[in-house]
Amino acid sequence: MGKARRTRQTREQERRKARTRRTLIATGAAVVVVIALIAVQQLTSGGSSRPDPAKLSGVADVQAEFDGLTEKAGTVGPASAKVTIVEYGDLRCPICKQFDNDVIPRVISDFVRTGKAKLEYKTWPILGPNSVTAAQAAYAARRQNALWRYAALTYLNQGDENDTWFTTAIARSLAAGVGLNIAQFDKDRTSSAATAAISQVTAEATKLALPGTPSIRIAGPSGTTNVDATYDAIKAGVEKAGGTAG
Amino acid sequence: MSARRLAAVLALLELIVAAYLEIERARGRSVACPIGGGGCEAVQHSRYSKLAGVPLPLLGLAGAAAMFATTLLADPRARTVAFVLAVTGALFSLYLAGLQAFEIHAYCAWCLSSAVIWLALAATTGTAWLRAADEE
Repeated sequence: MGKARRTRQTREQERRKARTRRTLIATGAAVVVVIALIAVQQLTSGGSSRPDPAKLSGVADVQAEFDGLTEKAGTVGPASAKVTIVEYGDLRCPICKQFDNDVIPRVISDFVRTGKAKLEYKTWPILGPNSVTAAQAAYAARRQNALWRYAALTYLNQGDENDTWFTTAIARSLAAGVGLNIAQFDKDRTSSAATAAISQVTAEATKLALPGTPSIRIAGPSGTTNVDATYDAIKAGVEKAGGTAG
Repeated sequence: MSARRLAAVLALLELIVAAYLEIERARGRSVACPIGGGGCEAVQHSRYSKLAGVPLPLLGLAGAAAMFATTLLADPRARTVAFVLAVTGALFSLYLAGLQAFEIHAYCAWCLSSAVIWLALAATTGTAWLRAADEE
């Protein structure tokens, strides 16, 4: 009787031991895999990228992109154009950068330079306080009728969105890059009017329930519509707003 | 409901979350961010959103699919794989939650719910695995 109980106890103990060992092996395997995943991610995610105010890139590209176009009140293109394409953008947003690089040049050559539409930029800072700083600089550039060029140059030199890279040095360097009057730029950037203008766009975007940046709205004689931030959607939107579709 | 069936339901839920995140990423859109005040976009586009060039939602989708597949099999080896997979998913999700808190300083509700699902998966597959081991 006593022997049988002991055997049962021993068997139970062995089973428990085996169970602990198995759990440890399985969990250990998972831990090893996770450590490997983390190591690979840390190695491949790279260091933080910050633009260098002394080494801006794309100054000539921006000049060429907007060559011959005049800007007024944040809008480039002929004032007589019936259709207005409005972009709500954040200078620190990576998708806006992508949109500015891939779609805007085609929009400018196909619709703005042909007189079909004019293009307006509204700075809607959605990525935290550093985006507000960038929006204040954008307001100051708008005051000197260079918002589009300032935005384009900023996108070309954009830093990592997790970094507070939009510093005063960068703001001024970008302003110099598009040929702004720096003293005036600094005055406008820090003015209460800049804050008021940003609040106004934010309120407008909230009222329109825009999903994020970049958001595109196209207004014309046939009404106003929100379209996706792609070339094809903008093309269709311009035709529809101008009353020239199908 | 058996632990294995519960794990299958959780894996399916995770599959849906990962699929949504991956579809929106592939279409170049930002996910809807009902909670957290726009944090999803910051997380989605942070430099931590990829692993060796592979977008994390895609990795999550593959993990959830593998997880779901293993929960469908009654085989003891599948149970072991399911447990290891779930613990891996749970630990890696916790690491990603840590990145949101300490590196990105923004939270993505989708990513956090995914972490909760992976933790639940680790618990249920662990239960199923140990129970099966005891019965052997």
